[in-house]
Amino acid sequence: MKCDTGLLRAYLDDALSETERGAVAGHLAGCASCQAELAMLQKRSVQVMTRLAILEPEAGEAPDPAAALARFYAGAPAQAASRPAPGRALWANLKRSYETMKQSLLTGWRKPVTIGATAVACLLILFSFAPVRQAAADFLGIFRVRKFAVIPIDAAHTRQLEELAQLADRGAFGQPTVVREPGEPQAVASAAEASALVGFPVRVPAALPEGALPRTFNVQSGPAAHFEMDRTTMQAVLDVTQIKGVTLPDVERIVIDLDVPWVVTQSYRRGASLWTISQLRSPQVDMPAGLDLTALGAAAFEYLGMPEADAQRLAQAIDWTSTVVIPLPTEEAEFREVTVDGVTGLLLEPRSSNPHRVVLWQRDDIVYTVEGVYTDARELLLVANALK
Amino acid sequence: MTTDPWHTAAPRPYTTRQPERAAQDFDALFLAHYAEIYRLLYRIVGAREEAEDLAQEAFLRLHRSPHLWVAGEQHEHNVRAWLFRVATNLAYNALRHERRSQARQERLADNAAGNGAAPDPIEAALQMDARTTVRQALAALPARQGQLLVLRYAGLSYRELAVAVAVAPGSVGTLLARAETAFERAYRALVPAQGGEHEV
Repeated sequence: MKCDTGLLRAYLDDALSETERGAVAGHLAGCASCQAELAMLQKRSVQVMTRLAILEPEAGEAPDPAAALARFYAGAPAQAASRPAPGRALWANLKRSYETMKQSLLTGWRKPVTIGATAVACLLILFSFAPVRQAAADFLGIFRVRKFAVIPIDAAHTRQLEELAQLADRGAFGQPTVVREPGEPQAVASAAEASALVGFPVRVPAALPEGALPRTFNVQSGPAAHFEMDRTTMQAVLDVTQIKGVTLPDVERIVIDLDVPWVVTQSYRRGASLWTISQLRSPQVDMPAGLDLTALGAAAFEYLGMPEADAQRLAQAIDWTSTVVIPLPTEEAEFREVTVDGVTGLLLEPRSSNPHRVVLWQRDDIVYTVEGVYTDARELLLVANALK
Repeated sequence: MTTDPWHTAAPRPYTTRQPERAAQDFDALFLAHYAEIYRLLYRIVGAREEAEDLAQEAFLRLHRSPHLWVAGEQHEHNVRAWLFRVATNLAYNALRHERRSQARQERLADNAAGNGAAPDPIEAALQMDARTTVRQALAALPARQGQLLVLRYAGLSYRELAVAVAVAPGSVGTLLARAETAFERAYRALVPAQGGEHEV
Protein backbone atom coordinates (compact mmCIF):
# COMPACT_ATOMS: atom_id res chain seq x y z
CA MET A 1 0.00 0.00 0.00
CA LYS A 2 1.16 3.51 -0.79
CA CYS A 3 0.77 6.45 1.51
CA ASP A 4 -2.76 7.75 0.94
CA THR A 5 -4.30 10.68 2.81
CA GLY A 6 -7.84 9.73 1.80
CA LEU A 7 -7.48 6.22 3.15
CA LEU A 8 -5.98 7.53 6.37
CA ARG A 9 -8.87 9.95 6.74
CA ALA A 10 -11.40 7.16 6.22
CA TYR A 11 -9.41 4.97 8.59
CA LEU A 12 -9.89 7.65 11.25
CA ASP A 13 -13.64 7.54 10.78
CA ASP A 14 -13.68 3.78 10.71
CA ALA A 15 -15.22 3.96 7.26
CA LEU A 16 -13.09 1.31 5.57
CA SER A 17 -13.84 -2.27 4.70
CA GLU A 18 -12.15 -4.84 6.86
CA THR A 19 -9.57 -5.59 4.19
CA GLU A 20 -8.70 -1.93 3.64
CA ARG A 21 -8.58 -1.36 7.33
CA GLY A 22 -6.12 -4.19 7.78
CA ALA A 23 -3.96 -2.90 4.94
CA VAL A 24 -3.85 0.61 6.38
CA ALA A 25 -3.06 -0.67 9.86
CA GLY A 26 -0.26 -2.81 8.46
CA HIS A 27 1.16 0.08 6.49
CA LEU A 28 0.91 2.47 9.44
CA ALA A 29 2.97 0.18 11.64
CA GLY A 30 5.98 0.67 9.40
CA CYS A 31 5.52 4.21 8.08
CA ALA A 32 6.47 7.06 10.37
CA SER A 33 5.28 9.76 7.98
CA CYS A 34 1.80 8.22 7.76
CA GLN A 35 1.68 7.98 11.54
CA ALA A 36 2.42 11.67 11.72
CA GLU A 37 -0.14 12.45 9.06
CA LEU A 38 -2.78 10.40 10.83
CA ALA A 39 -2.16 12.35 14.02
CA MET A 40 -2.41 15.60 12.10
CA LEU A 41 -5.61 14.54 10.36
CA GLN A 42 -7.13 13.58 13.65
CA LYS A 43 -6.22 16.86 15.28
CA ARG A 44 -7.62 18.85 12.40
CA SER A 45 -10.80 16.82 12.21
CA VAL A 46 -11.44 17.43 15.89
CA GLN A 47 -10.70 21.10 15.42
CA VAL A 48 -13.13 21.46 12.53
CA MET A 49 -15.85 19.52 14.30
CA THR A 50 -15.38 21.69 17.38
CA ARG A 51 -15.72 24.85 15.34
CA LEU A 52 -18.82 23.56 13.57
CA ALA A 53 -20.38 22.66 16.89
CA ILE A 54 -21.05 26.32 17.56
CA LEU A 55 -23.57 26.33 14.73
CA GLU A 56 -25.77 23.87 16.59
CA PRO A 57 -29.21 25.29 17.37
CA GLU A 58 -30.00 25.70 21.05
CA ALA A 59 -32.05 22.92 22.55
CA GLY A 60 -35.19 25.01 22.72
CA GLU A 61 -34.93 26.27 19.18
CA ALA A 62 -35.91 23.12 17.38
CA PRO A 63 -39.49 23.06 16.15
CA ASP A 64 -41.75 20.14 16.97
CA PRO A 65 -41.76 17.65 14.06
CA ALA A 66 -45.49 16.97 14.45
CA ALA A 67 -46.26 20.68 14.24
CA ALA A 68 -43.98 20.92 11.22
CA LEU A 69 -45.82 18.03 9.61
CA ALA A 70 -49.15 19.67 10.23
CA ARG A 71 -47.78 22.84 8.75
CA PHE A 72 -46.55 20.86 5.80
CA TYR A 73 -50.03 19.59 5.05
CA ALA A 74 -51.59 22.92 5.76
CA GLY A 75 -49.11 24.63 3.46
CA ALA A 76 -49.03 27.46 5.98
CA PRO A 77 -46.34 30.11 6.11
CA ALA A 78 -43.72 29.96 8.82
CA GLN A 79 -44.50 31.60 12.12
CA ALA A 80 -41.39 30.29 13.69
CA ALA A 81 -40.37 33.48 15.39
CA SER A 82 -43.54 33.73 17.42
CA ARG A 83 -44.09 30.10 18.21
CA PRO A 84 -42.95 28.99 21.65
CA ALA A 85 -40.29 26.36 21.38
CA PRO A 86 -41.31 23.02 22.83
CA GLY A 87 -38.89 21.67 25.34
CA ARG A 88 -38.74 18.18 23.94
CA ALA A 89 -39.90 15.94 21.20
CA LEU A 90 -43.53 15.95 22.06
CA TRP A 91 -44.64 13.96 19.15
CA ALA A 92 -42.11 11.28 19.88
CA ASN A 93 -43.40 11.03 23.40
CA LEU A 94 -47.04 10.74 22.58
CA LYS A 95 -46.31 8.51 19.68
CA ARG A 96 -44.49 6.25 22.06
CA SER A 97 -47.26 6.18 24.58
CA TYR A 98 -49.75 5.56 21.84
CA GLU A 99 -47.63 2.73 20.52
CA THR A 100 -47.41 1.30 23.99
CA MET A 101 -51.14 1.52 24.24
CA LYS A 102 -51.61 -0.03 20.86
CA GLN A 103 -49.31 -2.85 21.74
CA SER A 104 -51.29 -3.46 24.83
CA LEU A 105 -54.52 -3.35 22.93
CA LEU A 106 -53.23 -5.88 20.51
CA THR A 107 -52.45 -8.24 23.26
CA GLY A 108 -55.81 -9.83 23.52
CA TRP A 109 -55.64 -12.61 26.02
CA ARG A 110 -58.27 -15.08 26.86
CA LYS A 111 -60.14 -17.88 25.33
CA PRO A 112 -62.85 -17.44 22.91
CA VAL A 113 -63.85 -14.24 24.47
CA THR A 114 -60.97 -11.90 24.78
CA ILE A 115 -59.09 -9.81 27.11
CA GLY A 116 -56.61 -7.42 25.84
CA ALA A 117 -54.38 -7.36 28.83
CA THR A 118 -51.27 -5.34 28.76
CA ALA A 119 -50.58 -6.81 32.05
CA VAL A 120 -50.32 -10.19 30.58
CA ALA A 121 -48.60 -8.83 27.56
CA CYS A 122 -45.77 -7.56 29.65
CA LEU A 123 -45.49 -10.88 31.20
CA LEU A 124 -45.52 -13.34 28.51
CA ILE A 125 -46.36 -14.08 25.07
CA LEU A 126 -47.66 -11.05 23.48
CA PHE A 127 -44.51 -9.10 23.44
CA SER A 128 -43.28 -11.87 21.26
CA PHE A 129 -45.84 -10.93 18.71
CA ALA A 130 -43.54 -8.51 16.98
CA PRO A 131 -44.36 -9.61 13.44
CA VAL A 132 -48.01 -9.53 14.27
CA ARG A 133 -47.65 -6.13 15.80
CA GLN A 134 -45.80 -5.13 12.71
CA ALA A 135 -48.50 -6.56 10.53
CA ALA A 136 -51.14 -4.90 12.59
CA ALA A 137 -49.35 -1.63 13.00
CA ASP A 138 -51.49 -0.06 10.36
CA PHE A 139 -54.53 -0.37 12.48
CA LEU A 140 -55.49 2.15 15.04
CA GLY A 141 -56.40 -0.42 17.59
CA ILE A 142 -56.90 -4.12 17.68
CA PHE A 143 -58.70 -5.52 20.63
CA ARG A 144 -61.90 -6.93 21.84
CA VAL A 145 -63.14 -5.39 24.97
CA ARG A 146 -66.06 -4.33 26.95
CA LYS A 147 -64.20 -2.05 29.26
CA PHE A 148 -60.99 -0.12 29.37
CA ALA A 149 -58.84 0.36 32.41
CA VAL A 150 -55.81 2.59 32.62
CA ILE A 151 -52.72 1.84 34.62
CA PRO A 152 -50.62 4.96 34.96
CA ILE A 153 -46.94 4.16 34.70
CA ASP A 154 -43.99 6.42 35.29
CA ALA A 155 -41.13 7.15 32.92
CA ALA A 156 -38.79 4.52 34.35
CA HIS A 157 -41.35 1.77 33.97
CA THR A 158 -42.25 2.99 30.51
CA ARG A 159 -38.65 2.45 29.53
CA GLN A 160 -38.62 -0.93 31.21
CA LEU A 161 -41.67 -1.92 29.18
CA GLU A 162 -40.06 -0.76 25.98
CA GLU A 163 -36.89 -2.69 26.69
CA LEU A 164 -38.92 -5.82 27.19
CA ALA A 165 -40.76 -5.16 23.96
CA GLN A 166 -37.47 -4.75 22.15
CA LEU A 167 -36.22 -8.00 23.58
CA ALA A 168 -39.31 -9.70 22.24
CA ASP A 169 -38.96 -7.93 18.92
CA ARG A 170 -35.58 -9.53 18.53
CA GLY A 171 -37.22 -12.88 18.93
CA ALA A 172 -35.97 -13.62 22.43
CA PHE A 173 -39.24 -15.29 23.34
CA GLY A 174 -39.92 -17.00 20.04
CA GLN A 175 -41.61 -15.98 16.86
CA PRO A 176 -45.22 -16.33 15.88
CA THR A 177 -46.25 -17.65 12.51
CA VAL A 178 -48.28 -15.26 10.47
CA VAL A 179 -51.16 -17.34 9.21
CA ARG A 180 -52.70 -14.56 7.21
CA GLU A 181 -51.17 -11.26 6.24
CA PRO A 182 -53.31 -8.19 6.71
CA GLY A 183 -55.00 -7.08 3.51
CA GLU A 184 -54.38 -3.83 1.70
CA PRO A 185 -56.79 -1.04 2.51
CA GLN A 186 -59.67 -0.95 0.06
CA ALA A 187 -61.42 2.31 -0.57
CA VAL A 188 -65.18 2.19 -0.17
CA ALA A 189 -67.74 4.74 -1.23
CA SER A 190 -70.31 4.40 1.50
CA ALA A 191 -71.17 2.93 4.86
CA ALA A 192 -73.43 0.45 3.10
CA GLU A 193 -70.58 -0.80 0.95
CA ALA A 194 -68.28 -1.04 3.95
CA SER A 195 -70.92 -2.86 5.99
CA ALA A 196 -71.44 -5.40 3.23
CA LEU A 197 -67.72 -6.13 3.17
CA VAL A 198 -67.07 -6.40 6.87
CA GLY A 199 -70.31 -7.98 8.04
CA PHE A 200 -71.26 -5.51 10.72
CA PRO A 201 -73.08 -2.21 10.48
CA VAL A 202 -70.53 0.49 9.80
CA ARG A 203 -71.44 3.90 11.14
CA VAL A 204 -70.57 7.33 9.80
CA PRO A 205 -70.81 10.65 11.58
CA ALA A 206 -74.02 12.55 10.93
CA ALA A 207 -72.25 15.79 11.83
CA LEU A 208 -68.69 17.04 11.66
CA PRO A 209 -66.80 19.98 13.10
CA GLU A 210 -67.39 23.01 10.95
CA GLY A 211 -65.29 23.01 7.82
CA ALA A 212 -64.25 19.33 8.08
CA LEU A 213 -64.37 17.37 4.85
CA PRO A 214 -64.21 13.65 4.11
CA ARG A 215 -60.73 12.43 3.25
CA THR A 216 -60.61 8.64 3.13
CA PHE A 217 -62.91 5.72 3.76
CA ASN A 218 -61.24 2.31 3.81
CA VAL A 219 -61.76 -1.22 4.94
CA GLN A 220 -58.89 -3.56 5.61
CA SER A 221 -58.71 -7.16 6.74
CA GLY A 222 -56.49 -7.88 9.70
CA PRO A 223 -53.78 -10.47 10.24
CA ALA A 224 -54.03 -13.89 11.79
CA ALA A 225 -51.18 -15.49 13.68
CA HIS A 226 -50.31 -18.61 15.53
CA PHE A 227 -47.92 -18.64 18.41
CA GLU A 228 -46.47 -21.37 20.52
CA MET A 229 -44.29 -21.02 23.55
CA ASP A 230 -42.76 -23.88 25.45
CA ARG A 231 -42.29 -24.12 29.18
CA THR A 232 -38.61 -23.24 29.11
CA THR A 233 -39.29 -20.03 27.26
CA MET A 234 -42.19 -19.17 29.52
CA GLN A 235 -39.90 -19.54 32.50
CA ALA A 236 -37.24 -17.44 30.75
CA VAL A 237 -39.72 -14.61 30.30
CA LEU A 238 -40.62 -14.73 33.95
CA ASP A 239 -36.93 -14.69 34.84
CA VAL A 240 -36.16 -11.75 32.59
CA THR A 241 -39.00 -9.77 34.05
CA GLN A 242 -38.18 -10.97 37.57
CA ILE A 243 -41.79 -11.81 38.06
CA LYS A 244 -42.43 -14.10 40.96
CA GLY A 245 -45.45 -15.78 42.41
CA VAL A 246 -46.90 -16.87 39.11
CA THR A 247 -47.62 -20.51 38.51
CA LEU A 248 -47.19 -21.65 34.97
CA PRO A 249 -50.03 -23.76 33.64
CA ASP A 250 -49.40 -27.45 33.73
CA VAL A 251 -48.80 -27.81 30.01
CA GLU A 252 -45.69 -28.26 27.90
CA ARG A 253 -46.66 -25.61 25.39
CA ILE A 254 -48.89 -22.62 25.32
CA VAL A 255 -50.63 -22.20 22.00
CA ILE A 256 -52.20 -18.92 21.09
CA ASP A 257 -54.16 -18.10 17.99
CA LEU A 258 -54.89 -14.54 17.17
CA ASP A 259 -57.29 -13.46 14.48
CA VAL A 260 -57.90 -9.83 13.72
CA PRO A 261 -60.95 -9.28 11.54
CA TRP A 262 -61.87 -6.28 9.44
CA VAL A 263 -61.07 -2.76 10.42
CA VAL A 264 -62.95 0.18 8.98
CA THR A 265 -61.24 3.55 8.93
CA GLN A 266 -62.65 6.91 7.94
CA SER A 267 -60.80 10.16 8.10
CA TYR A 268 -61.87 13.76 7.88
CA ARG A 269 -59.67 16.77 7.49
CA ARG A 270 -59.82 20.51 8.01
CA GLY A 271 -56.52 22.18 7.31
CA ALA A 272 -54.05 20.60 9.68
CA SER A 273 -56.80 19.03 11.79
CA LEU A 274 -57.49 15.39 11.20
CA TRP A 275 -60.07 13.04 12.67
CA THR A 276 -59.78 9.31 12.15
CA ILE A 277 -62.58 6.97 13.12
CA SER A 278 -61.85 3.26 13.40
CA GLN A 279 -64.39 0.53 13.97
CA LEU A 280 -63.72 -3.12 14.32
CA ARG A 281 -64.96 -6.29 15.81
CA SER A 282 -62.55 -7.50 18.39
CA PRO A 283 -59.88 -9.92 17.33
CA GLN A 284 -60.28 -13.50 18.31
CA VAL A 285 -57.62 -14.70 20.69
CA ASP A 286 -57.65 -18.31 21.84
CA MET A 287 -55.71 -19.06 24.95
CA PRO A 288 -55.13 -22.25 26.84
CA ALA A 289 -57.03 -22.92 30.00
CA GLY A 290 -55.20 -23.15 33.27
CA LEU A 291 -53.63 -19.71 33.36
CA ASP A 292 -54.29 -17.79 36.50
CA LEU A 293 -55.00 -14.47 34.86
CA THR A 294 -55.54 -12.63 38.07
CA ALA A 295 -52.13 -13.68 39.36
CA LEU A 296 -50.53 -12.81 36.04
CA GLY A 297 -52.25 -9.45 36.08
CA ALA A 298 -51.12 -8.69 39.59
CA ALA A 299 -47.56 -9.66 38.72
CA ALA A 300 -47.67 -7.43 35.68
CA PHE A 301 -48.92 -4.48 37.70
CA GLU A 302 -46.04 -4.96 40.06
CA TYR A 303 -43.72 -5.10 37.09
CA LEU A 304 -45.15 -1.76 36.05
CA GLY A 305 -44.24 -0.29 39.39
CA MET A 306 -47.34 -0.78 41.52
CA PRO A 307 -46.94 -1.72 45.18
CA GLU A 308 -47.76 -5.38 45.74
CA ALA A 309 -50.90 -4.83 47.80
CA ASP A 310 -52.34 -2.40 45.26
CA ALA A 311 -51.44 -4.71 42.42
CA GLN A 312 -53.26 -7.61 44.05
CA ARG A 313 -56.31 -5.54 44.81
CA LEU A 314 -56.53 -4.09 41.33
CA ALA A 315 -55.94 -7.41 39.59
CA GLN A 316 -58.79 -8.92 41.55
CA ALA A 317 -61.08 -6.02 40.80
CA ILE A 318 -60.56 -6.36 37.07
CA ASP A 319 -62.70 -8.70 35.03
CA TRP A 320 -59.94 -10.13 32.92
CA THR A 321 -62.34 -11.59 30.43
CA SER A 322 -63.48 -8.23 29.18
CA THR A 323 -61.07 -5.50 30.11
CA VAL A 324 -58.28 -3.97 28.16
CA VAL A 325 -55.62 -2.59 30.40
CA ILE A 326 -53.77 0.36 28.97
CA PRO A 327 -50.45 1.37 30.49
CA LEU A 328 -50.34 5.12 30.18
CA PRO A 329 -47.09 6.99 30.76
CA THR A 330 -48.22 9.62 33.21
CA GLU A 331 -45.57 12.09 32.22
CA GLU A 332 -46.93 12.29 28.75
CA ALA A 333 -50.63 11.74 28.78
CA GLU A 334 -53.64 11.77 31.02
CA PHE A 335 -57.00 10.07 30.80
CA ARG A 336 -60.56 10.50 31.94
CA GLU A 337 -63.78 8.63 31.59
CA VAL A 338 -66.27 10.28 29.32
CA THR A 339 -69.79 9.53 28.22
CA VAL A 340 -69.65 8.92 24.52
CA ASP A 341 -72.08 7.31 22.11
CA GLY A 342 -74.33 6.53 25.07
CA VAL A 343 -71.73 4.49 26.94
CA THR A 344 -68.68 5.09 29.09
CA GLY A 345 -65.48 5.54 27.13
CA LEU A 346 -61.98 6.71 27.75
CA LEU A 347 -60.41 9.94 26.58
CA LEU A 348 -56.62 10.04 26.40
CA GLU A 349 -55.05 13.45 26.12
CA PRO A 350 -51.46 14.61 26.05
CA ARG A 351 -50.11 16.62 28.93
CA SER A 352 -47.94 18.56 26.57
CA SER A 353 -48.80 20.60 23.54
CA ASN A 354 -48.73 17.44 21.46
CA PRO A 355 -51.61 17.68 19.03
CA HIS A 356 -52.81 14.05 19.32
CA ARG A 357 -55.68 12.81 21.41
CA VAL A 358 -57.92 9.79 21.23
CA VAL A 359 -61.26 8.61 22.58
CA LEU A 360 -62.11 4.92 22.68
CA TRP A 361 -65.21 2.99 23.63
CA GLN A 362 -67.05 -0.21 22.99
CA ARG A 363 -70.66 -0.64 21.99
CA ASP A 364 -72.58 -3.65 20.72
CA ASP A 365 -69.38 -5.70 20.38
CA ILE A 366 -67.72 -3.15 18.17
CA VAL A 367 -64.72 -1.21 19.39
CA TYR A 368 -64.49 2.39 18.30
CA THR A 369 -61.63 4.81 18.39
CA VAL A 370 -61.63 8.39 17.24
CA GLU A 371 -58.19 9.89 17.00
CA GLY A 372 -57.75 13.60 16.57
CA VAL A 373 -54.81 15.71 15.51
CA TYR A 374 -54.97 19.45 16.06
CA THR A 375 -58.41 19.31 17.52
CA ASP A 376 -59.78 19.61 21.04
CA ALA A 377 -61.72 17.20 23.20
CA ARG A 378 -64.99 18.93 22.37
CA GLU A 379 -64.58 18.41 18.64
CA LEU A 380 -63.32 14.89 19.13
CA LEU A 381 -66.40 13.98 21.15
CA LEU A 382 -68.61 15.78 18.67
CA VAL A 383 -67.40 13.42 15.96
CA ALA A 384 -67.68 10.41 18.25
CA ASN A 385 -71.21 11.27 19.35
CA ALA A 386 -72.37 11.98 15.81
CA LEU A 387 -71.89 8.38 14.65
CA LYS A 388 -75.11 7.08 13.12
CA MET B 1 -23.61 14.35 -11.15
CA THR B 2 -23.44 11.43 -13.55
CA THR B 3 -24.23 8.83 -10.94
CA ASP B 4 -27.53 9.46 -9.37
CA PRO B 5 -28.94 6.38 -7.68
CA TRP B 6 -32.45 7.82 -7.60
CA HIS B 7 -32.61 8.32 -11.27
CA THR B 8 -31.24 4.93 -12.08
CA ALA B 9 -33.38 3.07 -9.55
CA ALA B 10 -36.53 1.73 -11.10
CA PRO B 11 -39.18 4.13 -9.92
CA ARG B 12 -42.03 2.55 -8.04
CA PRO B 13 -45.25 4.05 -9.27
CA TYR B 14 -47.28 5.83 -6.68
CA THR B 15 -50.34 3.68 -6.66
CA THR B 16 -53.55 5.42 -5.83
CA ARG B 17 -54.79 2.07 -4.66
CA GLN B 18 -53.12 2.58 -1.32
CA PRO B 19 -53.05 6.28 -0.63
CA GLU B 20 -53.54 5.79 3.08
CA ARG B 21 -50.51 3.54 3.36
CA ALA B 22 -48.46 5.95 1.30
CA ALA B 23 -49.51 8.85 3.49
CA GLN B 24 -48.42 6.91 6.55
CA ASP B 25 -45.08 6.11 4.97
CA PHE B 26 -44.48 9.73 4.18
CA ASP B 27 -45.56 10.90 7.62
CA ALA B 28 -43.21 8.41 9.20
CA LEU B 29 -40.28 9.63 7.11
CA PHE B 30 -41.14 13.22 7.88
CA LEU B 31 -41.26 12.61 11.61
CA ALA B 32 -38.14 10.47 11.59
CA HIS B 33 -35.94 12.91 9.71
CA TYR B 34 -37.40 16.34 10.30
CA ALA B 35 -35.35 17.18 13.37
CA GLU B 36 -31.99 16.29 11.83
CA ILE B 37 -32.82 18.05 8.58
CA TYR B 38 -33.86 21.13 10.49
CA ARG B 39 -30.64 21.09 12.52
CA LEU B 40 -28.58 20.71 9.38
CA LEU B 41 -30.31 23.64 7.75
CA TYR B 42 -30.02 25.73 10.85
CA ARG B 43 -26.28 25.12 10.97
CA ILE B 44 -25.96 26.35 7.43
CA VAL B 45 -28.31 29.33 7.36
CA GLY B 46 -28.27 30.26 11.03
CA ALA B 47 -31.86 31.44 11.28
CA ARG B 48 -34.70 29.46 12.65
CA GLU B 49 -37.46 30.66 10.41
CA GLU B 50 -35.41 30.20 7.30
CA ALA B 51 -34.31 26.74 8.37
CA GLU B 52 -37.94 25.80 8.92
CA ASP B 53 -38.97 27.09 5.52
CA LEU B 54 -36.15 25.23 3.83
CA ALA B 55 -37.02 22.05 5.70
CA GLN B 56 -40.58 22.36 4.47
CA GLU B 57 -39.31 22.80 0.96
CA ALA B 58 -37.02 19.77 1.23
CA PHE B 59 -39.90 17.59 2.38
CA LEU B 60 -42.14 19.01 -0.29
CA ARG B 61 -39.64 17.79 -2.83
CA LEU B 62 -39.59 14.42 -1.18
CA HIS B 63 -43.37 14.34 -1.27
CA ARG B 64 -43.27 15.03 -4.98
CA SER B 65 -40.89 12.12 -5.51
CA PRO B 66 -42.99 9.25 -4.22
CA HIS B 67 -40.86 6.65 -5.97
CA LEU B 68 -38.24 7.37 -3.31
CA TRP B 69 -40.39 6.40 -0.39
CA VAL B 70 -43.56 4.59 -1.38
CA ALA B 71 -41.65 1.38 -1.97
CA GLY B 72 -40.72 1.11 1.67
CA GLU B 73 -37.73 0.19 3.71
CA GLN B 74 -35.28 -0.80 1.05
CA HIS B 75 -35.05 2.86 0.12
CA GLU B 76 -34.71 4.29 3.56
CA HIS B 77 -30.96 4.61 3.53
CA ASN B 78 -31.02 6.48 0.25
CA VAL B 79 -33.97 8.61 1.24
CA ARG B 80 -32.03 10.01 4.15
CA ALA B 81 -29.01 10.85 2.02
CA TRP B 82 -31.32 12.25 -0.64
CA LEU B 83 -33.02 14.50 1.89
CA PHE B 84 -29.70 15.72 3.20
CA ARG B 85 -28.50 16.48 -0.29
CA VAL B 86 -31.65 18.35 -1.24
CA ALA B 87 -31.58 20.27 2.02
CA THR B 88 -27.94 21.31 1.71
CA ASN B 89 -28.46 22.36 -1.88
CA LEU B 90 -31.45 24.44 -0.88
CA ALA B 91 -29.52 26.02 1.95
CA TYR B 92 -26.52 26.87 -0.16
CA ASN B 93 -28.76 28.32 -2.86
CA ALA B 94 -30.47 30.43 -0.24
CA LEU B 95 -27.11 31.63 1.04
CA ARG B 96 -25.97 32.54 -2.43
CA HIS B 97 -29.06 34.60 -3.01
CA GLU B 98 -28.86 36.34 0.28
CA ARG B 99 -25.19 36.64 0.88
CA ARG B 100 -25.09 40.35 0.36
CA SER B 101 -28.45 40.93 1.89
CA GLN B 102 -28.64 43.19 4.89
CA ALA B 103 -31.75 41.36 6.05
CA ARG B 104 -29.73 38.23 6.66
CA GLN B 105 -27.32 39.97 8.98
CA GLU B 106 -30.20 41.50 10.89
CA ARG B 107 -31.91 38.20 11.23
CA LEU B 108 -28.76 36.55 12.47
CA ALA B 109 -28.40 39.31 15.01
CA ASP B 110 -32.01 38.94 16.13
CA ASN B 111 -31.58 35.26 16.34
CA ALA B 112 -28.49 35.44 18.47
CA ALA B 113 -30.04 38.05 20.72
CA GLY B 114 -33.39 36.35 21.02
CA ASN B 115 -32.51 32.73 21.67
CA GLY B 116 -31.99 33.20 25.36
CA ALA B 117 -28.87 31.08 25.42
CA ALA B 118 -26.60 33.91 26.39
CA PRO B 119 -28.39 36.46 28.57
CA ASP B 120 -25.29 38.57 28.85
CA PRO B 121 -25.30 40.91 25.82
CA ILE B 122 -21.53 40.78 25.47
CA GLU B 123 -21.63 37.01 25.62
CA ALA B 124 -24.40 37.06 23.02
CA ALA B 125 -22.40 39.26 20.71
CA LEU B 126 -19.35 37.03 21.02
CA GLN B 127 -21.45 33.99 20.39
CA MET B 128 -22.96 35.56 17.30
CA ASP B 129 -19.56 36.61 16.18
CA ALA B 130 -18.18 33.12 16.49
CA ARG B 131 -21.11 31.66 14.59
CA THR B 132 -20.75 34.24 11.88
CA THR B 133 -17.06 33.48 11.55
CA VAL B 134 -17.66 29.77 11.15
CA ARG B 135 -20.35 30.42 8.54
CA GLN B 136 -18.11 32.82 6.68
CA ALA B 137 -15.33 30.25 6.65
CA LEU B 138 -17.74 27.65 5.28
CA ALA B 139 -19.02 30.08 2.69
CA ALA B 140 -15.46 30.74 1.53
CA LEU B 141 -15.05 27.10 0.50
CA PRO B 142 -16.14 25.58 -2.77
CA ALA B 143 -19.77 24.53 -2.25
CA ARG B 144 -19.05 20.82 -2.25
CA GLN B 145 -16.40 21.09 0.44
CA GLY B 146 -18.69 23.11 2.67
CA GLN B 147 -21.52 20.65 2.14
CA LEU B 148 -19.28 17.73 2.87
CA LEU B 149 -18.19 19.19 6.19
CA VAL B 150 -21.68 20.11 7.30
CA LEU B 151 -23.06 16.74 6.28
CA ARG B 152 -20.27 14.86 7.96
CA TYR B 153 -20.87 16.86 11.09
CA ALA B 154 -24.56 15.96 10.81
CA GLY B 155 -23.52 12.35 11.16
CA LEU B 156 -23.84 10.98 7.65
CA SER B 157 -21.85 7.84 6.95
CA TYR B 158 -19.28 7.83 4.16
CA ARG B 159 -21.74 5.91 2.02
CA GLU B 160 -24.42 8.50 2.61
CA LEU B 161 -21.95 11.31 2.03
CA ALA B 162 -21.01 9.81 -1.31
CA VAL B 163 -24.66 9.77 -2.33
CA ALA B 164 -25.39 13.20 -0.91
CA VAL B 165 -22.60 15.01 -2.73
CA ALA B 166 -22.61 12.66 -5.72
CA VAL B 167 -19.06 11.34 -5.57
CA ALA B 168 -17.59 7.86 -5.52
CA PRO B 169 -17.58 6.35 -2.02
CA GLY B 170 -13.84 5.73 -2.27
CA SER B 171 -13.07 9.41 -2.67
CA VAL B 172 -14.94 10.66 0.39
CA GLY B 173 -11.89 10.37 2.65
CA THR B 174 -9.71 12.37 0.27
CA LEU B 175 -12.34 15.06 -0.25
CA LEU B 176 -13.06 15.31 3.45
CA ALA B 177 -9.39 15.72 4.33
CA ARG B 178 -9.09 18.46 1.71
CA ALA B 179 -12.24 20.19 2.92
CA GLU B 180 -10.98 20.20 6.49
CA THR B 181 -7.66 21.68 5.46
CA ALA B 182 -9.40 24.36 3.41
CA PHE B 183 -11.82 25.15 6.21
CA GLU B 184 -9.06 25.59 8.78
CA ARG B 185 -7.20 27.87 6.44
CA ALA B 186 -10.28 29.96 5.75
CA TYR B 187 -11.17 30.12 9.42
CA ARG B 188 -7.71 31.25 10.45
CA ALA B 189 -7.74 33.89 7.77
CA LEU B 190 -10.85 35.31 9.43
CA VAL B 191 -9.46 35.12 12.95
CA PRO B 192 -5.92 36.37 12.59
CA ALA B 193 -5.86 37.40 16.22
CA GLN B 194 -5.58 33.80 17.31
CA GLY B 195 -1.86 33.67 16.81
CA GLY B 196 0.38 31.06 18.26
CA GLU B 197 -1.40 28.16 16.60
CA HIS B 198 0.54 26.61 13.85
CA GLU B 199 -0.94 25.45 10.64
CA VAL B 200 -1.55 21.77 11.06
